[in-house]
Amino acid sequence: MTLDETALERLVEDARAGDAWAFGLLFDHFHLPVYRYIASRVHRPSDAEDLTQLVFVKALEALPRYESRGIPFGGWLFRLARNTVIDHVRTRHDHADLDAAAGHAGHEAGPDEVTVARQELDDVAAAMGSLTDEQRDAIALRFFAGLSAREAAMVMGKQEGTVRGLQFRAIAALRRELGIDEPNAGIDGDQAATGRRRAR
Amino acid sequence: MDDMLGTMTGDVLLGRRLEAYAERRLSPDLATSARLRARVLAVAHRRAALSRADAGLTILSRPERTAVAAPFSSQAQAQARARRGVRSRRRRWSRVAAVVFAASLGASLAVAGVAAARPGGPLYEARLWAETLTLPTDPSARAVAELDRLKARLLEIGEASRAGDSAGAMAALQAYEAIVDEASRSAILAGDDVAAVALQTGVGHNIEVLRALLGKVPTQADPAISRALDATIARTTDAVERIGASRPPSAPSHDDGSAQPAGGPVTDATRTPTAKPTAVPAEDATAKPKPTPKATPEPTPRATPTHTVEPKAPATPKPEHGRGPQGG
Repeated sequence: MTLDETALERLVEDARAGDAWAFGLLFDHFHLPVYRYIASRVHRPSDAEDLTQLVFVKALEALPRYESRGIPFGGWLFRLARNTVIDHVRTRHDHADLDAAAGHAGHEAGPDEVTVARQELDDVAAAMGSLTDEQRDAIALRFFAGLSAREAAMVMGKQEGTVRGLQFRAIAALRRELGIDEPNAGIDGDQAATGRRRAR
Repeated sequence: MDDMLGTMTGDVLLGRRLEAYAERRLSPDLATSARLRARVLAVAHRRAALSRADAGLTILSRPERTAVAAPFSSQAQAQARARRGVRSRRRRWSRVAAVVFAASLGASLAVAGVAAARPGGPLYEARLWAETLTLPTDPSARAVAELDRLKARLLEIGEASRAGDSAGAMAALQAYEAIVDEASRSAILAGDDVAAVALQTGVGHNIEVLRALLGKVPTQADPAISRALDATIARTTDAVERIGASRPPSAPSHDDGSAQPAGGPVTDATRTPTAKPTAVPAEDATAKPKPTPKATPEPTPRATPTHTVEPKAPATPKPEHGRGPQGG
């Protein structure tokens, strides 16, 4: 579902006033990027499901206290998601190593995966596992959740330039791991900043 | 993702692989999405219902929400309208349920409250205290209101003694005495003649009622009720005398204290007779089974104090007149 900023603001206001229907629309709009971000940070799909639910329930509870003050709702929601993942990793002593999640233990290959080479997906997972925590976070927020560099920086509590640097190094590492030749144009952090958010 | 990576790096291959990874390994399937949605919205609806229940008690209707669906398609708008219809129906029902719940809660609390506020009940004292909150400040109006309260206590005494509820009767008698004391004290302090006369007359009449009650009690109830009634009658009579003694002498009856404020000499003069009449009814009360012989000796001692306290003549005779027919 595509919503413009004005409609989002209205929905947030209605949801703040206790409108469950408005909150349902917000869920519809954000649940996929939130789930993807969380799934990229934890081992099992069941954990991703539980944590996504937890994030939205937390959002529901914290919504009456939410004040925009320059932070868009999406940024606020992903900050909740990131903190939830961090808490989960700490309590489970789970360092969210994506290499361990290479096979996404418990993940069963669907019919789609038969056609798309499963090995390729495993390679990407392994390549993600080779990144540092921060690089992985930047990639997850930028490419899996579809946030802009500014929003990702807000969520991570870092400068936008820092996030661009993290992204630059992460992409270089991924290319290296996956054996993809560096394109002539090279990876440009500024160009990355102009990229559109995918999930929206 | 193709667009994002494509425009920024030109690395279509990496973009495709990341996208494929996100699609197939990081995305929830339909069942997972549906499960998540159902769970999250169940929480949202529960919270909304709770806040509606809170707000429903005030029965404030919110203004119809402006359409959020401006950027939505017409189909989405129709869906939204249908959802809103369901929501408003649910809201209406939840309001009705909240009102019914509040009404039944109120009714049961009222029933429990009435039972607890009966004489001897845990809330009786509180009820008496609450009555004092509505008493007027004007002395004469207050006297009339206090007489109403005394009348209510007399009814309670009658009901409790008829039911053999000695605890209830005792509680009501105690309350009666406290009100008489308080009312007479207020009337005396206020120096309001109208209040004093009203109270004197009303309380004097109450003595008759108490005596009548006393006549009915002994056969059925606790002797403690009879004793308490005796004491109440004595105390009430005393109060009547006190009020009478506090009132200024009427001008034509006595010349000796005419210009003097009635306070000093009259109070002194009344103190002597006050003790006497109180003692007399007490003796009467002990002899209550035979009211007839009492009638003859009683008027004589009463006549004496009445004469000695001539200034208070208008008030004192009233109880006597009242008693006359009963005694005879």
